[in-house]
Order: sequence, then C-alpha cells, then structure tokens
Amino acid sequence: MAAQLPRRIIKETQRLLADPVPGISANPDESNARYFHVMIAGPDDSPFAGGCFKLELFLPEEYPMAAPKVRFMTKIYHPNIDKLGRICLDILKDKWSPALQIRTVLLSIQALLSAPNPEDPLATDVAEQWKTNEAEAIKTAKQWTLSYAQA
Amino acid sequence: MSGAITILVQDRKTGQRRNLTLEIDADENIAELTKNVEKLTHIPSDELEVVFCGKKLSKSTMMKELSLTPATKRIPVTCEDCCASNLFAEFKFKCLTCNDLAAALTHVRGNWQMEECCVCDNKEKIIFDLGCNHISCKNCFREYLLSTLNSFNFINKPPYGYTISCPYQGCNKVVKDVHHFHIMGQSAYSEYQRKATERLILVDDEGVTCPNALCGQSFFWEPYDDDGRSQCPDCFYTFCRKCTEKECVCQSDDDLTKSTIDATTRRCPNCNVATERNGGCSHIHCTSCGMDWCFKCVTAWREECQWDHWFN
Repeated sequence: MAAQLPRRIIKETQRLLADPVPGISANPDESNARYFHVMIAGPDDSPFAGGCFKLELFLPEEYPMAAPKVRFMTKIYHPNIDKLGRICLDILKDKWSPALQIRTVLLSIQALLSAPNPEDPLATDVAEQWKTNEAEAIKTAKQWTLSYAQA
Repeated sequence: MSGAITILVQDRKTGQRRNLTLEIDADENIAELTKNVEKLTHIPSDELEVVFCGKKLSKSTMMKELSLTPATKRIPVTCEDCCASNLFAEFKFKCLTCNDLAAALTHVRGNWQMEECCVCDNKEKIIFDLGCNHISCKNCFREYLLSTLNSFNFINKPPYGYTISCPYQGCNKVVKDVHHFHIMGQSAYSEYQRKATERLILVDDEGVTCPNALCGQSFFWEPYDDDGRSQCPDCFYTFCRKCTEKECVCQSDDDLTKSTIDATTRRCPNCNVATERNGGCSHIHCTSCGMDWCFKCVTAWREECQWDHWFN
C-alpha cells in the first residue's frame, strides 16, 4: 500500500465489521482499504422494500476533511438518485462535517430511501413524476426494485 | 479569608455532574472540605478527589494556600492623558522584543476531562472548543482549517470576518478571533489573509481586482466623477472595469472570450459571478458569495422554484 491508512479509517472499518448497522453491510475491498463494497436493504416502509441495493463508497485522500464519494451501482427509481447512481444528499456536499462517519453517511442514504425528496432532485424526470403522480411513481419504483435489486 | 465557593462534583464513571456552593474558611484543609461535600452529597469523602486549576490537591493542603479571591474584583483607574475615569484596568500579554500585543486564544483549552476529539476519537491534551463543548484536537482542527483554506469555504460573519464553524455536524458556533488561524503556519495564514481580502473586495460593488497579470492587487475604486475606468494604486495600470482591458472592448462584438463566457455560464443573482454548471443538480451554492440559487430560474433557491420552471 502506498500510504499508511489513518487510524480513524482503521477504527471505523473495525466498528463497521464488528457492529454493523441493521440493513446495511460495508466491506473494504481486498486490494484497497479506502474502497468499500456496500449493500443497503430497501426499508420496509418504502417502495424499495425487498430490494438489495449495491453501492460503492470511496474515501478520498482528504477524508475525513472531505466527504466520502458514494454511488449506487444498482439501478434505482428515486428522485434524488440519477442514472449514473449519483446521490443528491446535502451531507455529501456542502453540509459535510469531518465529525460525520461512513456509518452516518450510510444511515442517511438508508433514510433517503424511506423519504424521497422531490424538492431537491438530481433526476428531474423522476422527480417530476414523483410530484405529479406519486402513485404511479411508487409503482415504477417497486417494479424497478423487483427487476434490478434482487440479491 | 472566608466566603462561599462553587464546586463542580463529577462522577468519573457516569460523567454525571452537579454544582455545589460551599461555605469555606481559610484555616480549613482539603480533608475538611471533602467532609463537607460528603454531608451534602452522601458520597464517602475518601472517594472524593479535589482538583484545582488542573492539579490534584492533597488532603492536608490548607485553603489559605490556594490564594482564593473574589473573581469579579476589578481595579478602577483614571487615564492620566485624557482624564477619563470610571475605567477598569485590563491586563494583556506583549512581546518583550517587538512590543507586539499577543492575542489570547480563547477557543483553545486543556482537555481537563480527557474527552474524545469529535473527528479522530483521540484524547489529546490541547483542544479547540468554540464554546459549544464539541471538542476537536489541535491536529484535526489544523487539518480542518487547511482543507477549508484549500477550497476557501470560509463563511463571512461580521464582525469576525471570514471565519469557520465548529467541525461538528450542524453546529453553527464560529471562531470569533481569526488569530486562531495562525495554527496553520505563517504561509497558510498569509494565504488566508490574501484570499479573504480578495473575496471581500469581489463581493463588494466598489471592489475591483487589477487585471494586470503581474499585479493582481485588489482595491476599492472611488465612486465620484466616474468614467468606468480605474487605475490600480499599486502598479498604476489603467483599465476599463467592465471588460478589464486597457483599451475598452465593451462596444465591439467580436470578443470571443466574452461571447463564450456569456454562452456557457449564468450569473449568480447575488454577486453576478459567471457560473458554469458541469454536472449535478440545479441547486447552485455560489462559492463567491455563498448564495443558494437555482441554475434554471437564476433566482434565489426556493422549494417551488425548480418545480415551477419545469411546468413552463
């Protein structure tokens, strides 16, 4: 490995493995300890229930002064997640704080699945449908979950 | 000496605290003080440790050895020069060599209770606390400052100037004295000063930066008798403030740079800075003035803003 891994990353990784968040798993890559393979189970109270969503999480060199880079690898129908899997979440951008952790970021993403926020969308077409015809949007989200997010 | 003192009783295991006010006497010792605390709290006196000014006191220490005086005593003075009275003496530190006054760093303190840094979890002796009890160690706070300097994410908070908020998520306490930023080292501090000045001038209607590539001095132009041109007070370069050229090209249509910038950017509705959107959502946070605006409507960001736009 090129540079020594900061103690904080080691501690966070150990805690993620020893005491995982319910519905979330995060495992460091074998060849890169800053790259995590993440799985988030769709929350029961959401159209994503029963789905298993794969994400990638990368801790940049500046972490924890800069936010982790997180992206959905599984296709998902959500107003705050675009076609490339990029996530519109304030704590991943200007509201990032170095006191936040991988654990808190993943919890926020899980919460975002429970409560889509069409007011600050990344995928504008999805957001539009979510706002004009919520029933139809939820139906599509459920279909996508069945088609693409099965473990 | 006799009087009352306030003491803080803390349970080391649970972290529970309570304040007590006790009558004391100069001829008492610490053993007697702990007996009095026992009477009030029912904590056995042999389990109590007394800490004063960061030091553990022995049971035989006399109260009079501690030089306790009322905390609010101030010394009334009169100025010999202007005869102003009703003043109180203030005490400051200054350098014996250069005579410069030293600023007291009020956000830095000892980690008396050995709490964890909110960033790295380590328990360090010297910590930053912006008055909110969110603790960060010196190293983490320095890293946090350097990273904020790198992207110049300081927030403009009068009367403190460009400052930084507590690193704890959602906490809006700020550093009230930028002298604390010296922790970054001299060259980074100078860079902070330069960038903060530039930024301040950029967001001011009467501020301008010299376009001479060898200069770059920022200054305020004089609004009286204005013909749209300014002269840099540093290098004496004279230029048009609108197009920043020596010979004004505002009237010509063939300025490719200008037309390209106009075609590819939109201007922040608050500070007018040209903004290019290369990805992400339409919610723009202006890095110049801090304004939140919508790239589609080019107005302040409102919840409905983006929405109304799609409908049209």
